Amino acid sequence: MSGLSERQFALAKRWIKRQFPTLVTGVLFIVLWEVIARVIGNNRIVADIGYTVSSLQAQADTIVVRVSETFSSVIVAFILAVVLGVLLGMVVAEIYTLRQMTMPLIIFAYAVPHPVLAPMFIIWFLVGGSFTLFTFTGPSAYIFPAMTAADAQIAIGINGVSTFGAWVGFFPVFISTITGMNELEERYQHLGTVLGATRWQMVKYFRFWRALPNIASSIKSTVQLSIVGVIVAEFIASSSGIGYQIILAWKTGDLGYMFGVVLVIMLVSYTFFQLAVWTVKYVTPPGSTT
Amino acid sequence: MNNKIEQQSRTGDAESVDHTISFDSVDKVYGADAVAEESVVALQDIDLDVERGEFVSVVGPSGCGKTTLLHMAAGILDATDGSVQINGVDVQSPRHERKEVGLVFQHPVALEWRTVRKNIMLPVQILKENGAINEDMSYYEDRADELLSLVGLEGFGDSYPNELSGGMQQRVTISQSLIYNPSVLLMDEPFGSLDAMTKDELNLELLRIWRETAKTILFITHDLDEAVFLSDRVVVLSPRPGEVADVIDIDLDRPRGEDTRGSTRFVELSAELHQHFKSLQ
Amino acid sequence: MIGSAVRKLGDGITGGRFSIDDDRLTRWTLSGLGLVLLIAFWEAVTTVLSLNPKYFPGPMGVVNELIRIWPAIVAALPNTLSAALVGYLLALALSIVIAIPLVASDRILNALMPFIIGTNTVPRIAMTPLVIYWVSFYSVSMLYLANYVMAVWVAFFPMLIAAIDGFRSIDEDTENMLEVYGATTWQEFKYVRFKNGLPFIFDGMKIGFVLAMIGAVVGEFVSGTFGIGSQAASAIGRTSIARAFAIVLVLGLISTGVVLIVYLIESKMIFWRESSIMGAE
Repeated sequence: MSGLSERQFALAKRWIKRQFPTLVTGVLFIVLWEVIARVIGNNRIVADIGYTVSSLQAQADTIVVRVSETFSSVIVAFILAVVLGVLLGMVVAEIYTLRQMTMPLIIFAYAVPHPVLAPMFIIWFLVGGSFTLFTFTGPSAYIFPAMTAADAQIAIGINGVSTFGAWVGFFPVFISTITGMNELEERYQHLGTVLGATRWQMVKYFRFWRALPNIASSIKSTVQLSIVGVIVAEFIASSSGIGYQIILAWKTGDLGYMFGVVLVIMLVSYTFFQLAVWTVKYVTPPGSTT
Repeated sequence: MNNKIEQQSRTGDAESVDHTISFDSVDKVYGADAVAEESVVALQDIDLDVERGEFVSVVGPSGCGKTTLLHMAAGILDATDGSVQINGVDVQSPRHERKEVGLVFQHPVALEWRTVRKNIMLPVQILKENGAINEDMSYYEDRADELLSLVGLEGFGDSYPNELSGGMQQRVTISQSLIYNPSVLLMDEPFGSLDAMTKDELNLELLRIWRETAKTILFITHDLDEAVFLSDRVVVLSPRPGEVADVIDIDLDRPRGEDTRGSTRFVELSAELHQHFKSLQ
Repeated sequence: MIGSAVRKLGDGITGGRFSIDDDRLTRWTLSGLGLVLLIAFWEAVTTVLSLNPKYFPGPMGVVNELIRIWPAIVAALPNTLSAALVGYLLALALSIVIAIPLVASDRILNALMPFIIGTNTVPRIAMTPLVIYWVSFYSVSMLYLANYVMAVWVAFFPMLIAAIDGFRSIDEDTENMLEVYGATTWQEFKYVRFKNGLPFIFDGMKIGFVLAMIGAVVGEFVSGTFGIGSQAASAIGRTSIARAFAIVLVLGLISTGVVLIVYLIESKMIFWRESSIMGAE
């Protein structure tokens, strides 16, 4: 390619050299998988790569639909978590009395292993009904010509699954907002005093911005936890979503499908996570410390 | 007590023909195996000899390779070309052939969870486990007490580093480097992070310790006056790639004290050094 | 009210961060008051609005339900707790043991780190049915072992990363010092890395227990083996919020208790630094 300068070429060469051990290890893992599967030989304990792939292909349309369902719940959960986390975090950071009064509750809520709360969220929405914000035809209708638009409908709504995902994802961003706002260095406080800034002005011009790096770095945890929350909720609640597909695969003893679905979940989750990380990096001004 | 220490450092090396620290046509290139544009020549053609018992300072603008020079003498970095020797032995030789050197850093390396005394004992614990030294621990425990007095930290042996000021922590670092009695001390801007008064105080302390222990010292600093005050000779390195631009003899009388800084000769030398420095930029 | 009284004593801009803040009594009083107010408010709302106690129980309703199902909880708790505790301790031991060779060899670390981080990023909990499937091959009667495995699987990776971070994060000067003394890898760990890693490991331990509990509970959710998790899941069938809530209370108290214990142990062991209850961000 004539476009590459010698420097870019050297940089690329260096990057490949650095990633080399990782690539080798990755290939080794895949080889190991196939070897173990072949050695055990019965496709009942470890599914070999061929079996996994063919199971996935056979149910590709279901998978795409379910993944879209799950990750639309994840998006709702994530947005809820971030919005509520930042807003409530700002309020609690600002009002000292409130912070002290709610501190034990916050620590308690954070310490509770979240899965035990999932039933509560699910019951509430079963009984109260969920709110569907809007529906649209998911990507599966376009990818699979055999699928009707009706089958491929995705509903973006507030239900047990997405609210629970929001609950799980809420805490990292909530706590980091509080920490960030309260870490405002003294010299900015002094500047504010000298300028006669009101409380709201201090938040708007100083404290909120001080919290942003903390919030940005906690987004990574929020994404991960939102995904975990949605999947856990799907395990016990829904018949929709990719979480349920694994349960189905287990119940029907279809190992290839189970392997495949697990792999799909991991890959999509990782991509989602990377997207969030890149977006944060993209939005962060150059030269920031985070 | 002082004579005992002095004597030990003298019997340390038999060859008095070789220079104590010797850089011979030394080059240091980073990334030498990469694309030409990516490699960095840190040091070029360094020839430097330090005699036994000398106090030599190295000064130069930021990034000129002073720390690289020191790390090479310590054996932490290897030279791309040329050889670095201490007491006639190449620094890259296997450990058991080498003599120990002391390395003092800009920031204290005292471990937070050890008392001052235990921190001073750390080097000999490691060296003894590896068979590099043979004396009893009790011998070194006595030495640790002596060193505490020597550096002015008497009574602080059982304190923790976090309880001490920056200047005191640096004294602990200096003691750490003295306990195993190396004949050579390599010091990398040891007083750089201290306030001016503490720095002056520690300068005097260092000269006193040097007088009493007769070590060979290679000292890096960005403070030109400090270099003039402390050294027998001052080596000026040019900006990257670092080369020896100048060597200035400091003919001030010893022992030097507080009034040395005000003397005419000191002012002259300092001006001369500043001049050399400016001409580098 | 109290808030304005606090504020009158202080300055609005700093949000009342003054001497009154450091008054532990005030803080504890506020916390206690907050708790009381919350419960009172909760009771008031459910009573006044005549909410269906099945779906929106008041605090009294929850307590009653707790008393009612207490025998069931006492029967179920040991199963879940043993899975969580054993899994937790196993994950802790494994994380430290595996971190050591990884930190000792940069090559292995660089090769494996992306996979460790990657596995930590993806929802490992999604593998629960697969783990149960595998355990059912080994023994159907001991299916609850799957909960133990899940507890380890979920808790292990963050704790491994914490241990690796802790063992690695020594500053460059300390590393150089160790090299100058000729310390072996084992000596590096013995004298510096282990102690240095303690704060990190304790931080990992605080989140680790909750993670192990999550693994155990979700294991029970899916496999239906008897334990707190299956009790919680059955609440859905009965649509009994009070039951779910009661279980939440019990588990929350246990978790908070364990985190507190870890915090206490940490403040005893790490005397050179201040510990925090939530751990580092």
